[in-house]
Amino acid sequence: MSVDACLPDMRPQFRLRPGQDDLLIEWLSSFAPRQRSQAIRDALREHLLGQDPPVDDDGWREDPELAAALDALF
Amino acid sequence: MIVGVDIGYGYTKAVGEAGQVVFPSVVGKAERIRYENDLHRQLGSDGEPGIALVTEEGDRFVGELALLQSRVQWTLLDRSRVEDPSARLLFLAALSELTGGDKGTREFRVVTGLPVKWYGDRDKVVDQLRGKHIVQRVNGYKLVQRFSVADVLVVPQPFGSLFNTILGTDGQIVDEDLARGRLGVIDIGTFTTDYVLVDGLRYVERGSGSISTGMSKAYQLVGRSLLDTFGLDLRMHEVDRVVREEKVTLFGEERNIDWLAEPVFDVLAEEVLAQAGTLWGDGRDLRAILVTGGGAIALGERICRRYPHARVLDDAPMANVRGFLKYGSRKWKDA
Repeated sequence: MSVDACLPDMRPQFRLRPGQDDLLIEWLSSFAPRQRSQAIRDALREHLLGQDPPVDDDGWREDPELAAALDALF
Repeated sequence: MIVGVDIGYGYTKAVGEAGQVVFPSVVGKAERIRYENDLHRQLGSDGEPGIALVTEEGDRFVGELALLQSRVQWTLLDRSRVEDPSARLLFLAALSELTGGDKGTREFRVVTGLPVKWYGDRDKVVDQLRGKHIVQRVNGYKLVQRFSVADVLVVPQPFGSLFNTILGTDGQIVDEDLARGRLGVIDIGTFTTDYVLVDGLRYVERGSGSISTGMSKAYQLVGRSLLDTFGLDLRMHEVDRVVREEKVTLFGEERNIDWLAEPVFDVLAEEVLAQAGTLWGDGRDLRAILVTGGGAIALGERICRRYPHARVLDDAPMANVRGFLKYGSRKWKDA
């Protein structure tokens, strides 16, 4: 069984609406059909990495992995 | 009250929310001071450093007052300091100064440090400092202070400077870019130089260590030259002062001593860099090297010449203890 088979189906399920999503339609049209999925993946990744880290209960914005490493030191 | 305390061989430093104290790690037998005005001046009434305490071992002067007045004075010299009553006395003197000589009982949570190679002694430090303490302070009049030390956290000394660099005052990570990196820290103290390697805030044992070399070696050599050249016989803390001032006063005339000190610092820097080379090679895989401790001012430039990505920390002599406070503020933010 491949690793992919363990993942839920996460293919994007959405409909582009002419008039409202023209910018996206134009952008996706600029790619060859086989490149579109990769372009969407890259754009989503870039968008998420550019977001601020989540705020914790104290109102702190920290990378959870770094915070855990720091707290585990001593 | 959360405080960072560094009982160094050269100086004792403490930082709390209300301020900071620094005094030489020197304890002396208290002397009867003849003139009342001198007593008040030296005991702090006009901001001059001066700490006089009554202890189980007898009456003691601490810091500048001991250097100035005590005929018999001593300092911490070896590993035994973790069980030395003088270390506890320096700690209590620091808490007393931080509280401004207030009466009553104060509760503390303390972060302090040990040289990397003696970090195994941390439980002894906790046993020595934690618990209830009573201090009788003699400041022209007698004053009893009670300290309850609820928690003591001991970290390897150079981590203080790392924390000071990457954390904000409340303990939040403010420099994630640096924190993610592979970093070296060189902490040049009075008797030891410590090296720590961290990678993404994980401690790397094989890139860390200590050598028994520090600024005291330079002070000994400079002190000998001062005696040979000018006939001045100075103690270590006095040599430290004249080296920082870059001059001595001889028959009322100021004489520059740079030419004496600089060659000594060249040799000491080579020794410090040799160990860094053993641990980290040319340091090409390091994001940065942080240079800290009391010796950073004298040796920092030489280290930066060898490692272009080294940076001498602002207020390097206080960086460890400030970082201790920041880490304590993080650790006990909900306490």
